[in-house]
Amino acid sequence: MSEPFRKYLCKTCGLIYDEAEGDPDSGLAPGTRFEDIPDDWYCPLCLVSKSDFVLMSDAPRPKSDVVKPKSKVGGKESIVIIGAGYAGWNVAEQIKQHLPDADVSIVTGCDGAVYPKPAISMAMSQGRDAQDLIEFAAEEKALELGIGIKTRAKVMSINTDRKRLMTTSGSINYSKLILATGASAIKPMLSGDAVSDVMTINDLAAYKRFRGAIEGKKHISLLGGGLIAVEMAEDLISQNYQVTLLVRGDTLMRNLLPSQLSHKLAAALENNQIEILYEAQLEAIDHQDDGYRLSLDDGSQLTTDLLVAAIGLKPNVDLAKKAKLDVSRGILVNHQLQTSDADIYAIGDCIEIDGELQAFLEPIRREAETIAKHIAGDASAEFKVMPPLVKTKTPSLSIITCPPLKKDAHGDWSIVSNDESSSEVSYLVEEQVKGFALSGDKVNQAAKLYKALSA
Amino acid sequence: MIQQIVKDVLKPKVIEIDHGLYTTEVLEKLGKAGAFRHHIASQNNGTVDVFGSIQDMATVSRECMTTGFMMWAQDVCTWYIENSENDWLKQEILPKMVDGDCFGATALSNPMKYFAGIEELKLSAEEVEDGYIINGTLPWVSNLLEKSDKHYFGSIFHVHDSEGNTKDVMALIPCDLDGLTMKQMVEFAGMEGSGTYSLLFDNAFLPKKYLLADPIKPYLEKIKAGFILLQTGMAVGVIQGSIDEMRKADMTLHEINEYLDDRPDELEEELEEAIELIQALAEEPFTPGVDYMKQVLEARLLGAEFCKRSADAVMQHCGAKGYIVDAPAQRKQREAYFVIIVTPSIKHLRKEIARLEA
Repeated sequence: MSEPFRKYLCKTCGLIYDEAEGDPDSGLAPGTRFEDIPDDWYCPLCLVSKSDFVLMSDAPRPKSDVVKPKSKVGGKESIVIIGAGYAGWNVAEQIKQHLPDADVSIVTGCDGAVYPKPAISMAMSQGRDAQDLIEFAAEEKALELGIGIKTRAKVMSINTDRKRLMTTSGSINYSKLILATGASAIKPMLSGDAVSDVMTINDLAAYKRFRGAIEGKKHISLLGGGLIAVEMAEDLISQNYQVTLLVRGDTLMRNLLPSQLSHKLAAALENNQIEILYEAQLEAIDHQDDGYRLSLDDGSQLTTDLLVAAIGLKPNVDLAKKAKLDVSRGILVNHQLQTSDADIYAIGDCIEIDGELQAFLEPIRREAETIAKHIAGDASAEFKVMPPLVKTKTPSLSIITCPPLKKDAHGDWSIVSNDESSSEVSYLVEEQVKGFALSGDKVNQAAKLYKALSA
Repeated sequence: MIQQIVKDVLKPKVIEIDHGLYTTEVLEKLGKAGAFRHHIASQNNGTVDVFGSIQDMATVSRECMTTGFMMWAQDVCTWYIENSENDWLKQEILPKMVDGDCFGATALSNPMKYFAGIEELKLSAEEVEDGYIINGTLPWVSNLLEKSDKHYFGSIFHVHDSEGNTKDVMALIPCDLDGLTMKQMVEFAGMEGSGTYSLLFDNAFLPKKYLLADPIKPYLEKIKAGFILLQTGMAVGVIQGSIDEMRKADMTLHEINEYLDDRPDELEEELEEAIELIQALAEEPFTPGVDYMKQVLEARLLGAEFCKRSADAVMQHCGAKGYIVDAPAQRKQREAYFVIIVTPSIKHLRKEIARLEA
């Protein structure tokens, strides 16, 4: 029995001398044993001599003691945040404040730019374009916070057992995961040949497209009578666009305001040349000339140059759902902002807590702080669901409102004072104030009232 | 079987192929071994096994991605015929193509970019009673041979009829078509042995028996996921081949290679996960709807992004010895970059995914 053939490796270039194959080009027949190779033989690739070859063995390689200074995102000890909106950046910042040494990374499908989202609905009157809104590029902000960032990597799935994300750029490990996936603008269900031209705006990229689309246009239609539609209408009218609001019900901002204030606001908007169509059920959008023809369910039609839909947001829950986390309308979290998987938190517009969806900035700061403290080991950290305090960006009439939580929404609005220049309306449940709405000069009462309410 | 063909027939030719040797010898043997059969139900006992074809393509691409690319061309061309309603093509051409007795290619790069709003369609035709008179120029179609009566490619062109109506149709075009001139205009940095030509159509008459689809839209929707998923076979193979080279490099360089970001074990673990994802998506390639298509595009994007990392990792792991002419590492790098830039490229995929999400 002869010995099995062995392989030798050139330490310089990595060429493998296989005894079975020999090196016929140098006159070594297949089967030539390494020890039988003449000493003047040289590596056919890099010309070093026979003595630079080592026997290849199957034995395990010695363990390296190198502590790897990796430039990668994520890891088995890492806190990974999915999403780079306000919630994602905020929670990253809070964690670094509470746990300066934590290994934190953000993974996002977008470019991760940091911008103040509320400014989107007042950028025009402030003379800013989409680019002007960017405060930091993602890499810049990440460097400042000392965190890792991976942009343009879409997370496709979460493997909760192995604690790994699969992204379009590869897999990423985590020890704690924070979902900050936000919400998406709801698309209206319309027919017609121009459905794909209907715009929605809920991030900077969409806003940039919107600003491009309105250039040279005269008449813009806004579908919706909520906060965003009204703010956009005000911003457009400030730039001398003609604006029509298509409102489904009979009042503006009906989820946020008592009807008295809605009417006041509507009068102010109309006084400011904004056209409001109530009970408007839009059915179809079709191309007509260079613009569009909108058809309503009552048979009426109107022509416009662009339609923007602002009919609400729905939490982005697909990823959570795919990972089998508990999801209702939003991703369900407890008062520590943990999902049904204790190592996965969720924050911002994507969450549902105590039955509430709150797509506002204010709770996000407190949510971020709760998550940071909880991860840092403070078991008493708790997020308290509060009614939101909303200042509308409506120059026609200044309003601050604090609508009741869903659980308290069985009471009534009750007028405290109401005159031409200002109003104060309380939301009462069994004589208890659970919300309020202020306009005109009364808005400066907001802080005091909110403090009393939350006490 | 496939493994054996790779070892015995392909491996000795890899460098020649990389330098520009176009051979159908390997494809013939792969066809005989069933590599092009899995996803073609009519030739595979009624089973559509897209993943089977992806796996064979990956096995070959691990050694030589130029050959893997030609397998993809062959695989999608059979896919076109199989999913058409042209019985003549199905009887006369398809079985031969599946067996590796004739050869298939695809000229859908330009149409895909046209449908994504990136380019204009480059071919147009006039419809006459029994065929189409085609004019125009197509850059870079692969797995072809000049004047061959065994080589065919799928193509899409605008058609104008006598009443001035226009539409797009798809057809199979034989390489020996009168009025079709094939030219090798440029030398590429890689994939040179893939039989790649520019095609000039000068009043080339194509009989209607070669028609694949009219109307084209429902047909394209049907074939799209398979078309894209099959490309991942190239990605998986070249990544695995790069990992192989990194492991070889580690035999002498592992201590210093520990400082690198993407180590072979890590890449391999990720690759296994990616393969699982591809396998799951490939099970039902005719799934309708935006959600599935988005997942397919994302999986393909992962393939390309992963190639980008492995191309970088293999060069860094191998160092200077990977930088030598004909070193496998630099060949893997060039091959991997092909996956990144071939239609749909990373930028094209990002645009498509953004469109589906908007």
